[in-house]
Amino acid sequence: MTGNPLPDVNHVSRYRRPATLSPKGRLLPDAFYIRENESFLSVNWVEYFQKPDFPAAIHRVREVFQAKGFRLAHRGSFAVLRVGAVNGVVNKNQGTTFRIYRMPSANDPSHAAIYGYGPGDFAVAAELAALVDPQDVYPAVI
Amino acid sequence: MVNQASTEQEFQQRVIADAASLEEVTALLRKAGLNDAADRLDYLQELKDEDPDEPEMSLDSLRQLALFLMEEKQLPHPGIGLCSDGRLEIAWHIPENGIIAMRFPSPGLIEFAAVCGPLESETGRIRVNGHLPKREALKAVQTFIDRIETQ
Repeated sequence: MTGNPLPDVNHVSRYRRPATLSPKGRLLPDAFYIRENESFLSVNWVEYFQKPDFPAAIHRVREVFQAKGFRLAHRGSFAVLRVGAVNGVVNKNQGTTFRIYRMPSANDPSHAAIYGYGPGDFAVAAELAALVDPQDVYPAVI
Repeated sequence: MVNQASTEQEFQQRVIADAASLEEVTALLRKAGLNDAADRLDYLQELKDEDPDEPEMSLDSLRQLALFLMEEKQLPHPGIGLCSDGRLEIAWHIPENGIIAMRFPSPGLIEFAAVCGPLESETGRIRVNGHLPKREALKAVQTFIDRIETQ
């Protein structure tokens, strides 16, 4: 945990492969699985970009991914979640008081990390997927 | 009657176990009237065909999913996703940011997680999760199944 915790009223975005998005625009748990060799889930702090709305902020997230050399899938997507809701899901499932922390890097100053659960925590991943309504999902490529 | 149901189940298990490809499994699903599931699996394969970074679908996971869907045809069509490790998972969304999610770690066993209730409520949000044989897993999430969104 390298940076400050993000405010509960702010938002984070998570890039998702198309295979984790249902035809109805709902996410499946794999969208929030933490990989075996990782201790947090990477997200982007949406308010960092100081844009007037989510579409404009997500456009900046797209540019950051492309600048990092990360290939966005044609039918991939970005899901936007409220920080306070994510913290609530993780902590109520795990009995912890973790937060989402800023973890900026040279080529991604909006990078942040969700701590508090691990690779085997299916229930947390499922509940995080349930937080995302179809209107909170934006195409990765436009 | 019980014996007939048991025989049908055993027959389905044998047929699915003999399926050697996605095409064979989806053909069985279509024969069983599960066209939505077959279409979704074809779509997931199409994603792999157009993107080499997408994982290969595990045939074992595919068989277990197909068997579950064929045996539980009374359930609404779930969302079907392909995990980054190649395994398949399913989920039904329910009101108030609720969900029932399942994956199939080994034959006959289901890993499940379900949650529903007001998001901000300290006590009103209900959660269950675990690994159980199919019958017990479905019993554990029955309250949630009754609330699946059908729209």
